[in-house]
Amino acid sequence: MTGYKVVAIALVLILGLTFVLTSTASAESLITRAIKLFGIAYVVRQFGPDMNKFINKMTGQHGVNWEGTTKVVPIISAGNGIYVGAAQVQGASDRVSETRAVGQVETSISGLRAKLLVPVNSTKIGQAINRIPGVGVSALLDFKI
Amino acid sequence: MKTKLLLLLITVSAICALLYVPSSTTSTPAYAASQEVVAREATIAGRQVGEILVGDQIVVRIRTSAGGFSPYQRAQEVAQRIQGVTATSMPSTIVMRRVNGQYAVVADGTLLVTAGPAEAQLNGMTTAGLANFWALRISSALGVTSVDTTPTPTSQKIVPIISIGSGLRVGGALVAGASSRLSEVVAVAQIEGTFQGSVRIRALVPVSTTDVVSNIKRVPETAVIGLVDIKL
Repeated sequence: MTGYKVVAIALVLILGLTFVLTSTASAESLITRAIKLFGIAYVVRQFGPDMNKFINKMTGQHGVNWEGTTKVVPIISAGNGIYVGAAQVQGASDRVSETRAVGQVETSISGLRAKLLVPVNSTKIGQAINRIPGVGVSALLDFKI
Repeated sequence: MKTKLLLLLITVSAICALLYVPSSTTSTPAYAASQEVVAREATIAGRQVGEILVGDQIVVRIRTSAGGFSPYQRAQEVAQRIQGVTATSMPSTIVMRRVNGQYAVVADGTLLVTAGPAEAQLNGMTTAGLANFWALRISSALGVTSVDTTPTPTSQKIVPIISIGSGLRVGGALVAGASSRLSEVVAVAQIEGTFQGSVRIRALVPVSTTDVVSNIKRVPETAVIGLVDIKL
């Protein structure tokens, strides 16, 4: 009996997700729907490499080519651990591959409100996180929801 | 008796002479360059290149001409420089450094070879990466350390963000990097785009001019590390 319940719930979930993802009535893009369903971390994991290529192509058209490697990672608010966006980071290849996220820290500099963007080696706020030196933010990605 | 005494004296003198170790033998022997450094011409994928060898190991391969010199002529020049710095003693460090705005390999302050953008592109590397690679190859072949212990001074500053499309100032950015480079940064150019209609992208490029609409010139070794909001 329990087995039937599990199968039924799974079917409902699959049908629901299929309906939401393939719905033509909505003008939402696949990325917007994926963010609503699975969150920014999933979207960055799935679409990050394509977004990274797109950004590099976009900057390349303006004659701006980064030295080293680039990668798209999620931005995580340092206060509450919530995923608040995504950023492209750039730097030496080994340092960029270590980077898992960008930590966003809100502070005040000379009386102005500032958001520090710190490339870090983990997405788990609250655990041991280390800043990755030599890596900077080269682009910001805002998701429409 | 006299003869015996004379013989004994001669024998003792001979033994003393044999046991005597002259002070010159305890001093450091004269330095001799352990590895031969040569340049040779080669053809790789139909392209003439100049190779520099330390012993039988290729440490640098030059693929491009520069300043009217062919790759082989440039290789000869680099080989001579390496011979020069190793002629009397081995250099203490061979490291990658910036020389006149370009990444280069330097042995105790003496320039050995510069990694130009065309050379780096042909090797599929950045100029810094290529210079570092060459420094490691040369130092490894000569048995010299390649660890650069000189810290690069860094600093930060706030500059305006200027939109490339409109030329308007749309905020402020905190930029960090090597102090020598940071002084060149006067603004951050914002290049905007949209990915699949739902992701707004703002590329942030530290630049050396505020006229980003017609002339965008990135300042290397600097990056944005924060955003600053100005209350209106």
